[in-house]
Amino acid sequence: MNDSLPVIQLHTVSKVYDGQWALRDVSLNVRRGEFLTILGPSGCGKTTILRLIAGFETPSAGTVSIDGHDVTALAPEHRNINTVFQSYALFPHMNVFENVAFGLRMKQRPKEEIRREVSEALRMVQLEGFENRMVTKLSGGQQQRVAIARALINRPLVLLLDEPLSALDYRLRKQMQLDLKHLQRKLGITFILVTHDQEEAFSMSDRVVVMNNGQIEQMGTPTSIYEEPQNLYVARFVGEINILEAKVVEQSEGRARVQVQGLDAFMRTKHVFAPGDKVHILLRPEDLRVETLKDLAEDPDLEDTFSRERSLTGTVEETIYKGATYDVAVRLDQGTLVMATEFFNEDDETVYFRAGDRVAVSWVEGWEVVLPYEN
Amino acid sequence: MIRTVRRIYAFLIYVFLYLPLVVMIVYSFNASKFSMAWKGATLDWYVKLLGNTGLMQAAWHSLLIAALAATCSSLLGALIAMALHRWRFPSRKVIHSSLFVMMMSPDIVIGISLLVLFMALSLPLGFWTLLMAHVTLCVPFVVITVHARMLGFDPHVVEAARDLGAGDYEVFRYIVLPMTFPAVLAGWFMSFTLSIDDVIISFFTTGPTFEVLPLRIYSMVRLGLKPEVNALCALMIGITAVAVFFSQRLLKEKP
Repeated sequence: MNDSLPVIQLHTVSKVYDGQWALRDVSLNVRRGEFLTILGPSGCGKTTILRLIAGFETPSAGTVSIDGHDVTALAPEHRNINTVFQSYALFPHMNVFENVAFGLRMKQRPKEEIRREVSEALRMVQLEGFENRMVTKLSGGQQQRVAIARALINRPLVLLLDEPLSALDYRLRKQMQLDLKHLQRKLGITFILVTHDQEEAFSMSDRVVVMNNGQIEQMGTPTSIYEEPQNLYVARFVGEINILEAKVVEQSEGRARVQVQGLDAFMRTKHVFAPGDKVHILLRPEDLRVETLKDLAEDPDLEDTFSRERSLTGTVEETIYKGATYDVAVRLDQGTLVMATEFFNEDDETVYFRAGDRVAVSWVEGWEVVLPYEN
Repeated sequence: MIRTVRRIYAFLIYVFLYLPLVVMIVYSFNASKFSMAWKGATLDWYVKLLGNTGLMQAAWHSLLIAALAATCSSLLGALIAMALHRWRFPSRKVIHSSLFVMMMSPDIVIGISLLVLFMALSLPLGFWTLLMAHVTLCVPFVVITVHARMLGFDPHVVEAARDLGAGDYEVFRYIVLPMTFPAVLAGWFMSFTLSIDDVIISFFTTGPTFEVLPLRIYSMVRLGLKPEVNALCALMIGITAVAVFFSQRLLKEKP
């Protein structure tokens, strides 16, 4: 076994259902032992990818390889891959033991070995002593654990998880996220998770694949997806973001001088633009710093730390309390509304800004993302 | 107050439904042969019933036909339900709705149409024609029962089994069969009761060589009500009640 060989390879895979593209020319390499998450809205094709890997579907075009072998035409029962279904799909007429033992029974392992493996698998998911319970009598969280044990007992090369946490309540979901992550670290098995929840994707995965309309929009670490989105779709899909229209004045090495909302400043970019090109400036709310013009005028120290020359002026429209933070909605003088997330002042629990305050909004150079203009 | 009214209301409904049966069962123990007057309890009619070979043979025929028809229609019905559930073939909808047509059709229409069919094929009326008629009568009920249960399944269960290494045979043997079996069995009991109390279809589709109980009783009653018939009917109610009880319990069981 070659460790550098991708454990799963999708090569230009397409899938058509009833004349509609579910997947279009998708290529994806999954690394051995990684926790990969496929993130996207419903109907973006993420579950189709999972079903192609599991073998429940065959691609309309392209190939699927597991461990370097082409398995495009191989039935699911012959693939060394197991799935945790969104609905868990436990066998309702069997108890917990029989559910978990099913895979090993199909492989006709000796009874004694099955008993040992099942109790170990149940211990792993903290369900010892549940062997004789009927699965229909378990809570959602417990059923989920049975589904995970039933899949992992087969020591699959890859474990596929199809929105496994979506049916659980918030606290249980958080707990299961941690548990799954620990399990994956401990076992070293490759996990591929499908979800529409970006928080879940970011907190669990080594790599995230963002999908839309049957195509991959961006692939990378959670940080790179969040901080350097490659297009507006990804930027909007993961987290809140302010998008400003701007125009390039001149371009130099790695920087572009742009005009945005009356401001003329240099911004970092990997793209190459020609003077006059329209661009988008993307700013995360938590990267924005807001100060009132009054404070800036009265306090010279503040003036020093706050780069007034690359700031935008506007008027506060409203503040939105969020618990640990609060959002300030600022209407820029040029008309665009931007959101900024502020932390509460350590010794002042009240919201600092009032509607109608004249403010300046600024950010550290390099924290912005400049993207080519999209309609 | 309202509770009492409700209870009385419910009681009246039960009286309305079951009083005739109770009266009949009580009279099956009545010592008087002709009058409706109570002349003391006796088991004579049950003993006489055992001695009445014609009646006993008809009862045996009925049980045999009911058991065979229930078994055939359960197997056939389960297979049709599986086909309807698993595949999307062109005539699927037609088959599905024709089942309801069969269930709704008056017995007399089914009976006459089968008679015409058997005559056209010049099949002699008797055991085989009766069996075929009863299977036709029961199959739709089995299909509907089994199909309804299959619709209640998580469709991913079969995929999960394959995912865990089960081939077609194992999926059927360990997943589909055990999960649908209660519904098939319930269908069996339902068919059994349908078959055993059918008069009209049997009337048209069997011949003098193979007499079944309801027809026999019918011809006996025309000459006057005999207390043995009461005794026999009391036994039949017992058998039917057991069958209904089991089929309901099987259907209630969670999938």
